[in-house]
Amino acid sequence: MPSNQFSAVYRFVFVAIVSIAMLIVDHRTATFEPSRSALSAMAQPFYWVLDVPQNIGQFFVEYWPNRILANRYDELQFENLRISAELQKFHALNAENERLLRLVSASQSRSSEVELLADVINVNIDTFNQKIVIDRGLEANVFLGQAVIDAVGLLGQVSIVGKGSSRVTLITDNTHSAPVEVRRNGLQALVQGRGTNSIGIASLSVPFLSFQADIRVGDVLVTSGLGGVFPANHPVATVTDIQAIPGEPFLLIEANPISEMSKLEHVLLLKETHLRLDAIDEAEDGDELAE
Amino acid sequence: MNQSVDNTRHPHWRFLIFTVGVAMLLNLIPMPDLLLHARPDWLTLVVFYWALILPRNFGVNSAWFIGLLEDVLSYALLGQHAVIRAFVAMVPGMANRRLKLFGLVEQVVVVFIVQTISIAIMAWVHRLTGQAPILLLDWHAAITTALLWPFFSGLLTWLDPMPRHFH
Repeated sequence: MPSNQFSAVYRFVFVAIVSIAMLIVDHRTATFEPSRSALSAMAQPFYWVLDVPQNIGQFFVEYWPNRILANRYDELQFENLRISAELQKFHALNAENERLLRLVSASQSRSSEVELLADVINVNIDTFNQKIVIDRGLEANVFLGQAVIDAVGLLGQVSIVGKGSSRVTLITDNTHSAPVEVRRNGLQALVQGRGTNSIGIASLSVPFLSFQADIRVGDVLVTSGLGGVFPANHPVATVTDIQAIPGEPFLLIEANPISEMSKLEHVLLLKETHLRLDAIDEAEDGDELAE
Repeated sequence: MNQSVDNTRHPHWRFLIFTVGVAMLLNLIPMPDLLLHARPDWLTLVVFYWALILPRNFGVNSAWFIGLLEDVLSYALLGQHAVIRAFVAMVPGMANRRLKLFGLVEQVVVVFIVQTISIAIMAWVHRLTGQAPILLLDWHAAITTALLWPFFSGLLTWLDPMPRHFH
C-alpha cells in the first residue's frame, strides 16, 4: 500500500512533465493540429449536445420577439384608430375653414361694410322666437341694431348687447320686419318673420302688397337700405308662394330666407349706417324690436 | 505500478464513463459570462470521486487521459487540463484510506484546496503559454466546487448500480 501512495506521486510527476512538454510543443508548433482536428471532428455529436440548451434558448428568444411584435402591432393599431378619429376632426375643421373663407370672400365685395366676425355660440329657435347668441359684445363695439349677415344673405340684427356676447334676432323671428325691395324691379316691400312652421322650417311673409304689385314667385328680395338699419343690396329672401285670397286686400306672399339659417356658425356684423339714429327712433316707435 | 488505464475491465465502467461524459458536458456547456466564473468544476468532482472509490483502476493516468480529452473538446492547448486532472487524481491516490475516513466537512476542505491548487496550476500554465490570465473571479469556482462535493458524492453513490465503496 505505501508503495501505491508514492507511485501516485511519481506517476503524476511523470505525467506533469509530459503535459508541459505537450503544452509547449502545442503552443509553439502545429504538430498536434491534424490529430486535434480529427478528434474534434469525431466529437461532433458531443458538440451537438452542447448546443441543445442554446437552441432551446434560441427558440424562446425568437418566440419572445414575436410576442413583442404582436404587442407592438396592437399598439400601432390602436394608435391608427386614434389618429383616424383625429383625422375626422381635421376634415370637419377643413370644411369649416372653407365656409369661413367663403364668408370672408363674400364680405370682400362689401368689405367696406364689414366690421366684425363673430361665432354663433347659442341658437334659440322655437315656433315664434328666432334668436341666436354671438360671442361679441360691448368689448368689440357691438351696438344695438347692428346688422348681421352670413356669407349669402341677411340674418338679422343685434337686439341685446352684453359685455362679451350679444343676442341677435333673426329676420325669421315673429317680431322682426326688414325693409326690402324686389331686385328685379325695385318694388319696395317688407319682409316679416313667421317663426317656424309645424315641420320646423322658418319662413317669411311679404305683407301689404296688393294684387296689382309686380311680384312673382322666384323674385329675390334684397335690403332696400330704407330706415338705415340694414345697408342696401343684401339678399334677404326668395319668394316661394303667392296667393290671392278673395276678399283680402293684400296678397299672401311667402318667402324663404336666402341666408343659410340651418348652418349658423360664423356671422359677420356690419358697420353702422348713417341713419342709425333714425333706425332706433323708428324701432322705438314701431315697437318692432321690443326686446 | 501495474495499474491499468483500461477501465473497461471493471464492472462499473459504463456508469463511470457516463458520469465522466456528463461532467464533461456540464463543464463545457456555453453559459453567460457572469455565471461562468462561478461554475463548479464538475470534472474535478468526478475525477476526485472515482479516484477515491476505485484507486486501483482509476488513477493519475486515467485522469490525465480525461484531461486530454477535455483539452481537445475545449480547443485548449493539449496538456493544460490534462495535468490538472492528473493532479486531482493524485491526491486520493496518495491518501486514499485517510480521505475515506474523513468526515464530509473535511472532504469539502480537501476538495477546496485541491481545486485551488488546480486553478493555480492553470494560471501558471496560462502565463507560461502567453494566454489570458485567470481573473480573480475565477477563483470562486473553488468554493462552488468544494461546496458541491457532499451532494455530488452522495448523488453518485445513490445512482451507482453496483456500489462498492470499501475495497
